[in-house]
Amino acid sequence: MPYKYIGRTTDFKGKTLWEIVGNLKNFGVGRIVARNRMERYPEPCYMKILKVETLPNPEVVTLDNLRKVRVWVERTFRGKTDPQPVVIESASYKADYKLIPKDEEEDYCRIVRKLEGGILPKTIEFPPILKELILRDAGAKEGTTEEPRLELVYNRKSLRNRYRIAEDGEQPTVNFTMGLGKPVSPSLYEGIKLDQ
Amino acid sequence: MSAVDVDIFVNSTTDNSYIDENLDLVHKLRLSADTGNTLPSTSHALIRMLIQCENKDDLLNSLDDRLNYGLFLDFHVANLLLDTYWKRKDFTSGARTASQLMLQEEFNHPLSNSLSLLHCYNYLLQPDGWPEYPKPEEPEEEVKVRVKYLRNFYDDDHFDLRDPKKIVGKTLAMFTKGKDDVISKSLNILGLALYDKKDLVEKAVSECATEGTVLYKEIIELVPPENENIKKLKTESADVNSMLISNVIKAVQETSENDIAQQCEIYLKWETDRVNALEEQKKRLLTAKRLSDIEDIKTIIKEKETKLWFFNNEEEIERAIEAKRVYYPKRWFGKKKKPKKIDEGYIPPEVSQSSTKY
Repeated sequence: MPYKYIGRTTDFKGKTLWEIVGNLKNFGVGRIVARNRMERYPEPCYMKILKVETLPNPEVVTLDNLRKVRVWVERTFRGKTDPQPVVIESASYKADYKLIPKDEEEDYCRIVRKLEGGILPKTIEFPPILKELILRDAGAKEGTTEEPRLELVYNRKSLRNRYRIAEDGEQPTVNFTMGLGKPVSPSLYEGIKLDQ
Repeated sequence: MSAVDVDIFVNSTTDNSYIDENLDLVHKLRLSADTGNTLPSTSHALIRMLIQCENKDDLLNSLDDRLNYGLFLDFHVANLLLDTYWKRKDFTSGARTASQLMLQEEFNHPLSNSLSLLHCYNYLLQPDGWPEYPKPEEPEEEVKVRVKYLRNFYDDDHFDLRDPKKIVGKTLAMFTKGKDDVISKSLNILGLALYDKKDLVEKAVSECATEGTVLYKEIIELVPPENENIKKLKTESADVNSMLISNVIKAVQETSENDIAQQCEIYLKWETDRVNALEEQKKRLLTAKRLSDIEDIKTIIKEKETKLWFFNNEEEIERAIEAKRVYYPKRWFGKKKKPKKIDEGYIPPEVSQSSTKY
């Protein structure tokens, strides 16, 4: 009958850093290591080992007390590399790391540039009552096909990443409506005619 | 425990009688903090000593156990090992050495590549002698151990491989990856099939089928029978062994002179490195010793000072003695009053309007 270990569960999946680094010649300097926990993000997260300093083996090795190692890495988190190298020591006992083979390195680290978030519209319809008022005021010029449009003001800083505002004559990919739009839980709106 | 000292010891004991001590020392070094400074000449010298004393088991087991011994193959030693095993026709050991090269993902040297392929192929013709990995000892009854966090089972397909078929398969596949000649392609398919990667096998097989390459029958025969799509391939027979050997000879002719010159340079470099490392260590130890000596002198002088300046500092010393007195907060020794015990049989009196006499 084997040893039966009783304790809290973790969702770590992998090996400790020492087990990876100690199995490699020259302690794996220049190899790429990734953490299983960081795989939840769509962008690649990995760490490139720059320098390794070994720490002594603990006197009593138990499942709680594993060997740690001090590793300087160049960390890339969600596609963005940190400018300065980072030390990993206190997290090196976590059995969460995996080594990426040399032939798969390029594949793993490729940042797939997501398509542009979209083009946002420059103008939008006026709210219904205001529209009526404006049309009434400009009532003399009936029959104009060009109805007045409200120019939208965006928070420029938040647009920097993925979206941009449409130029004149460009078709926006994202559409803003004056109506309620598509409800998140349509069951609440059964029987009601929504003006989308 | 210093890496330089271990290196000097291993390099200077060329006698076979010191094997156990060497292995023990290297093991102890691996468990200490100075492993990061191990010189490459340590493992080189130790492996060559083990070859010399023909201790196959020790050598291969300690090569396998990298976490505990830290012996790594550089190309020179790898070629040496593969060559000795070839001369002794010991293909199992050759395959094991080749697997070590595969684990470190070092496929640069053409001689090592060709020798490894040779050994792996010959091992597969007669697969036996691969030792079983010893299972860790377990007590008979179930022993419950309390740990803070459980560790989940994880098998990375690389360092954790234990099945000889898979190991040799992966070695073959990785050594022949990307190469275009017929023998490499056939060995690639064989390797992938042994390594159990059915989809990669199918991909390679369909590639070969579309290109119409003719593979070697001897190699394809070794593929385990579960892979049926192999039959689609056209095969011709050829003397694979002699082709592999001719590859080795070609590689030798290409690289031997260069290798020899490089290795001589490397030996000289290691010697200078060792001397430098020893000098640095001496300096470090000297400075540490000087600092500790200075600390000792400081304590002695301080004691002398207190003795000589006693009467000047008498008042301060008395003040210091007074300051050592510990003031404890006042404690209360009174008795705690117990709450009134309610008699359970107590019936409160009835109070009614009429009972008042006033």
